[in-house]
Amino acid sequence: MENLYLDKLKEFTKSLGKAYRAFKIYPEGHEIPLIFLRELWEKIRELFRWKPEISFIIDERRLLDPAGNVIYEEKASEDNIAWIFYRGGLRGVSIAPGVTSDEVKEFLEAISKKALIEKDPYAFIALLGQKNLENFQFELAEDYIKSMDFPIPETMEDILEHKDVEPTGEPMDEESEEIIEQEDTSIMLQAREVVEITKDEEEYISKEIEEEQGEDKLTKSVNYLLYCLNFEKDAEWYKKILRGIEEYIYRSLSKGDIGKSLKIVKLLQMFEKNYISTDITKSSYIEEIYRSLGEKENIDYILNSDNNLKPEFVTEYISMLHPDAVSIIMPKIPNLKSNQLKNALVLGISQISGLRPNHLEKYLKLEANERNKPIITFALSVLAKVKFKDLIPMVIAYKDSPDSEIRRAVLETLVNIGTVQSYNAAMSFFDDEDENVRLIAYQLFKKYNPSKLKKVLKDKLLSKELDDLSFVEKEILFNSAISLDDPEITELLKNIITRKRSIFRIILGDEKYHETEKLLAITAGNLNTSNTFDILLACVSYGNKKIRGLCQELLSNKKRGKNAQT
Amino acid sequence: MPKLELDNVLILFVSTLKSAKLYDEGHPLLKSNLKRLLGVINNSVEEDNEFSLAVKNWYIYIMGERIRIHALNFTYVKTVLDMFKNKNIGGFVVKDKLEATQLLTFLRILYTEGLKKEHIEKKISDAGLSEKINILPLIQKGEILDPKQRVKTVYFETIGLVKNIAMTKDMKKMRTKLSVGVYYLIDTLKTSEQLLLGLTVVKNYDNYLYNHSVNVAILSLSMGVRLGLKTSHLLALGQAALLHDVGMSTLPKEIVSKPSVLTPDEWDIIRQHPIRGAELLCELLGVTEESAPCIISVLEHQRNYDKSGYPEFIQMDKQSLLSRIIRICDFYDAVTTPRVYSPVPMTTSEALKHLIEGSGKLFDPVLVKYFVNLIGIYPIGTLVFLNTGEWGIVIGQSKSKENFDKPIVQVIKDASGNDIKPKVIDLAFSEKFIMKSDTPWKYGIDPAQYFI
Repeated sequence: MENLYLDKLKEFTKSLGKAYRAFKIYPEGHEIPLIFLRELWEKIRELFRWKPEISFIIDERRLLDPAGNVIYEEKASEDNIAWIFYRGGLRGVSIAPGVTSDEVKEFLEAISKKALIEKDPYAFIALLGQKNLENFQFELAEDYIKSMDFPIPETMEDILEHKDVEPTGEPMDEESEEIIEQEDTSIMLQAREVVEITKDEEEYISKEIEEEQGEDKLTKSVNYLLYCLNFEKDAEWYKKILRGIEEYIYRSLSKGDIGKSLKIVKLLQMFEKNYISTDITKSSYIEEIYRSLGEKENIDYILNSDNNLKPEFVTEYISMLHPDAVSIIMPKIPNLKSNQLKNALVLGISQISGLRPNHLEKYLKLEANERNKPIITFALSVLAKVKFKDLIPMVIAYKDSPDSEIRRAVLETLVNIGTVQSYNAAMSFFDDEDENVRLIAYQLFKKYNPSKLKKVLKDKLLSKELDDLSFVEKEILFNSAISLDDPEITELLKNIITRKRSIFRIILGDEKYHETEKLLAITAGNLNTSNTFDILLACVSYGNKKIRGLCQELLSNKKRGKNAQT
Repeated sequence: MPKLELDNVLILFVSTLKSAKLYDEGHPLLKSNLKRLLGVINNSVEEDNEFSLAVKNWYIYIMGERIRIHALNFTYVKTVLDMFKNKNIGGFVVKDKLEATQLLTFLRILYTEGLKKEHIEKKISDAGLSEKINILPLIQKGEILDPKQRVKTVYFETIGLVKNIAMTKDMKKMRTKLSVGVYYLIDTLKTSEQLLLGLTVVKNYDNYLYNHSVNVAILSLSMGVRLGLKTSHLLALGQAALLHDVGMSTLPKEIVSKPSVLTPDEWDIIRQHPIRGAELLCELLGVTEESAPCIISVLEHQRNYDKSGYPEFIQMDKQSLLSRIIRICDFYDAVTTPRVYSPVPMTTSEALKHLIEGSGKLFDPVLVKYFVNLIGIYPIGTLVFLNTGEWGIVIGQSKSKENFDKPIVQVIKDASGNDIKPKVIDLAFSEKFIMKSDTPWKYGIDPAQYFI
C-alpha cells in the first residue's frame, strides 16, 4: 500500500512540474495552464483519498516524502521545482484537505512568477504571502526564519525597501547574478488522447529527446556530406558540397578545433588521390581547398592560438598545405613566442609535398638584422630538415654572422644537410668565438660525422692551447675523444695524462695542467668505453703523482663496477 | 561596435532594466549592471557621437546593426520588442554622455507601466534629460491585432519566405529571416494552434512545394511542442521542416509538376532531391551548428524507420528524431494534398490508416501515436456528414479529451446538399454527431476557403 501511495506522490510531483512549466510559459488567462491545473487537481484529490495531508520536504534538487523517500529528482536546475522552492527559501510544504483548486492555481501562479524574479531571494516568500493560501503550510529555511524579524514584504516597494538585508545562508551564485538567467521558452500542449501513450512510450520519447540533444549534429552532417561527395557524379554539385565542407573546416579552425578540420582534410586527401586518375576536375576542386587552407586568415587561426593547439596537429595541418603557404607563414615568425609552435611549424613545412628550394630561398637572402633573425633561423631550421643542397652556399654566407644564434643555426643546418661541402664548411665552428657554438659542433659531429671529428680532436689534443680551454669545453673535448675509442686518439689522451712537467712549469705553477689531467681522468672514469682502462692505467703507472691516486681510485671503482656487473 | 558584442549589449540592457526594476540604487547587482551599461553607452557616444537601440518591424538594431535572433537571445529580443511595442516607442538615442543616476532615471521611466511615448518624453524632459536622450517613434509594418488575421499573416509570410529561400542566391541574408520565421510559427502555435493547424488545409497547386513545406513545418512544430522539445530544438525542427524539400526546386519543373505518372527514370531524378537539397544548403548556409540539423533532415526525410528508403548510400546509424517527425508530417501532408496528376487526394482517415500500417516499418510507431493525437480522428479540414444529413468542415478540435470524436464543425450544406449560411457547431455540446467523413476535394470543395 505504501508503495502505491509513493507512486501516487511521484505522479503528483510530476504533474506539479508540468503545471509549473505551463504556468510559467503561457500568459495569464491562457487555457493550456488550466488543463495542467486540472490534471494536478485530480492528483491532489486522489492523494487525499489515501491520507489526510499531502506534505513533502525540499532537499535542494529533490523532493522527499516525510519518510525520506525521493518523490521527485532532477539534476538540472532549470525548471526543477525542488530547486525553485529551495532557492526561494522553502524547506517543506504541507497541503491540508480543505485546499481548493483556486488555491492550487494561486500557488502555481506564485511559483511561476518566482521563475521571473528568482534573483530576489525574498520575492518568492513575499509572493506566497500575498496569495490566499490558507490550506498551504510552508516550512521556511532556518536562515530565513532567523532573519524574519522584519515585516514580510507584501508589495514590490516593500521588497525594494528590504533589499539590503540578505539571507545569510542561501546559495547565491555570484557569476549567475551578473546576467539574468535564460528563461526556457519551451511550450507544452495537451494532446488529445485518441490513442493512449503509455508510460514506456513517454519514457522512450524522453530518451530520444535526450539523445537528440546530445548528438553531435555537425559531425553527423559532415559525415553524411562525405557520403554525398563520394556519390556525386556532377562536378558542379560536387563543388557545392565542398564549399559547405570547406566552411566547416574553417569554422573548426577558427574555434581552435584543428583536430576536426584535420580529420576532414585527410578524408578529402584520400578522395583526391582516388580522383587524380579518374576525375581531374574534382581533384582540382579539392586542391583548391588545400590552397585556401593556406590562406592568411586560416594560417592566422593557427598562429594566433599559440600554445592551445596540439603541436602534432599543427605539424599535420601545415604539412597538408600548398607550398605557397610558406610565404604567408614566414613573415609571421618574428611574432611567435611559443617555441613549441615554431618547432611544429618547422616540421610541418618540411613535410609539405612540393616544397622547393625557391620557397625558402628569399628568406635565406635576408640581411641578418634583429627583425630578420627569427625568420632566417626558422628558414635554416626548415632547410636542416628538407636538406636542399642547392641552398648550401646561402647558408655558408651566414657562417660569419656576428650573431651567435644565426651561426648556431647555420652549423646545425650544415651538419644536417650532410654533404662533404656542408661538413667542410661546418668544421670552422670548432673554432667559433662562442663556446656554446663550439660545444654544439662537438655534439653534432660526434653524432653525424665521427671521422671528421677525429681530425678536429687530434688537432685540439695536440694543440698548445689545450690547457687554456674552458673547463666545459675540455670536458666535452675529452668526452668526445674517449667516446671515439680510437687507438690513435687514445694514445694522445694517454700522453696528456702522463705528460711530464718541466722545472720551469713547476716553478711557475702547474695548476691548469693539473686541472686538465684531473678532468681527463674523471671523464675517463665516468665513461665505459674499453679505452678508459688504458688511459687510467697509464695514469696510475706513469702519471703525475698529483693525480695518480685519483686514477687509482677511479680504476678500482671501474673494476668494482665491472665485477658487480659480471 | 563589433557585431559579436551586440548580443551582450542587448542582454546587459535587459538585465539592467530588470535589476533597476527590482533593486534599489545601492544594490551591488544594479550598481554593477549600471556601470557596465554606462560604459557601453558612453563609449559609443565618445566614438560614434551616439548610442542607439531601435526597433523596426521584427528586428532590434543597436547602433544601426541588426541583432541576429537565435535561441539564446530570443527571450531578450522579445522582452525589448514587447516592451517598446506596448509603450509605442521605436527605441531611443543617447546623444551625450550620461551619469549613472541619469541612466537609472531613464531606465526607471522606461519600465514604468502604462507610460506611452508622449508620457515617456515628458518625464525625460522633466528629468532634464531631453538634451541627452531622444525617444524614437515606433515604425511597425501593419500591426495586426486580430489573432486570425495575425495567424494568416504568419502563414503566408512563411510561404513567401520559403519561396525566397528556394530562389535566393544569397542565403546568408535569409538566415535571420528563416530563424525569425520559425520563431513566429512557434509563437503563433503557442497562442493559436488550432488556427494555424487549420491553415494546413490550404493546398496550392502552383505553390505546392512552398505550401507543403510550411504545412509540414506547422505539423512538425505542433508535434515537437507536444513532445516537449525545447525552443532550440523546435527552431531546428522548424527550419529543417521548412527546408526538407528544398532540393525539389533544383529538379526539372516538367518532372516535378508532371501531370501523369512518373517513369522509372523520372523517379530516379525525383529521388535525387534529398541530395540536391543538402548540396544546396551546403552552398547557401554552409555547414554550421545551425544548418547541420537541416542538412541531416533533408538527407534523412525520405529514409524510413527501418532504414529503408533513399538515398540509400548514406550509412545511417539512427534516423534523427527531427527527421522521424518530419517523415510522418511530410507523408501526411503530401498524401492529403491534391496534385495535378491526382486531384482527389487520400482522405485523412486513409492517410492515418497508412501511417498506422506503416508504423514500425516506415514510421516511428510512438511518433505516429503522437501524430494521431495531434490531428485527431477528424483532422481539421475533413468533410463530415452529420446524422442530420448536413455537410460540415471540421474547423477545430474539442477541448475535452473525452470528446476527441466530437470536433467543432462548420456546417456548409443542408441535407439536400445546398449551400447554407455557414454556422459553427461544437459537436461536444450538440445532439448532432458524425455519420461519415470524406475528403472535401472529392466534392469539389476546397476547405481552405473556410480558414482564409
